[in-house]
Amino acid sequence: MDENIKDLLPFYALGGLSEADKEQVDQYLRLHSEARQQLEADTTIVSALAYGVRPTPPSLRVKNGLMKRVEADVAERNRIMAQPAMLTRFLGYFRSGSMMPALAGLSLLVAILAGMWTFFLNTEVSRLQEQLAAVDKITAALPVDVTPIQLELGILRRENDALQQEASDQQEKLLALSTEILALQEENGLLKSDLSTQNDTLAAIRDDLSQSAIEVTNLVDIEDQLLAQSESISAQDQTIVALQQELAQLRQTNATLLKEVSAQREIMVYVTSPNVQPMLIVGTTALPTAKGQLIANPNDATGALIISGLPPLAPGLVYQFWLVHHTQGYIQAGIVDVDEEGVGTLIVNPNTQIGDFDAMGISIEAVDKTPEPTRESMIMLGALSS
Amino acid sequence: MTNAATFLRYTKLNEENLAMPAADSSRAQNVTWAKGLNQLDDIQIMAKIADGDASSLEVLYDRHSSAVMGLCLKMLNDRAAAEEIVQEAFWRVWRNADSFRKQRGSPVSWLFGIARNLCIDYWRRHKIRPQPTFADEGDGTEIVSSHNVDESVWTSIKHNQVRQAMADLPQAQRRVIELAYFWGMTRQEIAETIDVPLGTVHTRARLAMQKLREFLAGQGFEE
Repeated sequence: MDENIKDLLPFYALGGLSEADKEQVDQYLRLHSEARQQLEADTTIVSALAYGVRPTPPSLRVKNGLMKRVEADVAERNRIMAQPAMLTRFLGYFRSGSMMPALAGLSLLVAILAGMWTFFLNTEVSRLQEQLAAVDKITAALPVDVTPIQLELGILRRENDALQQEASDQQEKLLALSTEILALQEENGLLKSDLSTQNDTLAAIRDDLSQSAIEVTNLVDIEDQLLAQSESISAQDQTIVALQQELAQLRQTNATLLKEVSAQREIMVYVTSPNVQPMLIVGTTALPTAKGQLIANPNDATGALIISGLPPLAPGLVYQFWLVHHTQGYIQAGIVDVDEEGVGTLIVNPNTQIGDFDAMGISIEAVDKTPEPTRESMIMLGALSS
Repeated sequence: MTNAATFLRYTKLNEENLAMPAADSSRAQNVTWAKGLNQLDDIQIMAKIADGDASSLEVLYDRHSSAVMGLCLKMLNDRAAAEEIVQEAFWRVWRNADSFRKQRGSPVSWLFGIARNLCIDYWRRHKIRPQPTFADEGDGTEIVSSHNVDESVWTSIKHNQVRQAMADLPQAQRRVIELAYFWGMTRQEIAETIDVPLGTVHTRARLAMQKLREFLAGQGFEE
């Protein structure tokens, strides 16, 4: 069956075709019995569809109204049936003889017309017989010339048969393809359904992602807070470092103070020891404001030097304390520590009795150079007496 | 006709239903005649209607008026208009019974066709086109006509069979059938309404018809 008609038949039965489509199907139905059978089957189904609707009894008024109309119609039919028929009236006139002249005239007219018609038919038959004779002559002359045509006709028929076979094969393939397409369309429907489900899943995932984005935003906020806290901690660290530095300085100051206290205590030990005596040392013209004492027992090899009025030195320079022996010359006896107030102290421990030395002095020397003192380089000098 | 319907048709229930109080002898004769008519099938009834027998039309009306009314009510959604169409449909059966040809289908499908065309004419006359609805039609078990109990039961059985057949169709296929039959749409209008290619509408209609045919045949459905 034609595929297009196959598509149209259900809608023909359902009453869903345009007039043009309906005309096309009507023409096809006149020629194809299988289409008529298909339509009959479809129509049976379609007529059942009305049963699918919930049945609802109409009100009694509908039936009463209908039956009244029907009764009136029956009465009208009976009235018409009761009237004499036209033919009966005509036969009555005929029987009475009042129409005889008119009938005679009518019969004569019919006879004349029949004679004319017979003459016309005879003439036409003669003409056709002549034409037939002419055709016979032509046909008799044909056999010799017709043979090649017949051969060609045979070839054409075989070709035609082959083409018909091919067309039949094509139709079968088309049918198979149609079935396959129907299956694919069904499958397509299922796939669409799956796609819809997957879309729902994707929508759910998008919702989750949206929720995750909110959580990420929260995390960013938390990160900002952490960063602020980190900066605060860093500032605190810097404060701690500063405090530690301050503490270290304090410790250093403390150590210096302790050292000073220790030195002062040591000096106090010498100052308060019995048999000690102060031996003066004063500034030369180079440093006239400086003065001090070496407090020691001349019979001991130790003593404490205390100087005041020493100005601060440039970096790399120190105050060098010397003991002068009449045979050994200048002997290094230590570096004088000077505080901010210009007071210098030194515990002297020359391994020889202080009383054996002749004099003492202080010079300014470079830290990294071996000193070579002279009388002129002394900024303070003092005599030692036993 | 199925065994169930045949059984119902010949039970005492049927006779009690028809044995209405006769006010006079002619009414009683009509009832007796109607008992006989009730045993005829629709095609035989149509032949009697074509001969001008009003009682046969009444029998046909009792058998099928509920189903025809249901169809009209679905298509028009207006009870008064639906009742008007029901009366007109049976009137046309009465006037044109002699043009009925059983080769073209059953009397009831002819009747449904008349009613459906009248509904479509009604839309055109009143320039309306109701919006399609696809509500479930109910199971029909509660439907019992006051005119004729066994016919109503038989109608309910058929209603349930067809309703189930329609319910078993995939929604997309069912919709094509409903739009064409109940809402009078052409295949092109259906394709536009549900926004699918015309070829898809054809496929759905063919598959739907095939499934309905198989289902109803399996149920022993008869008109």
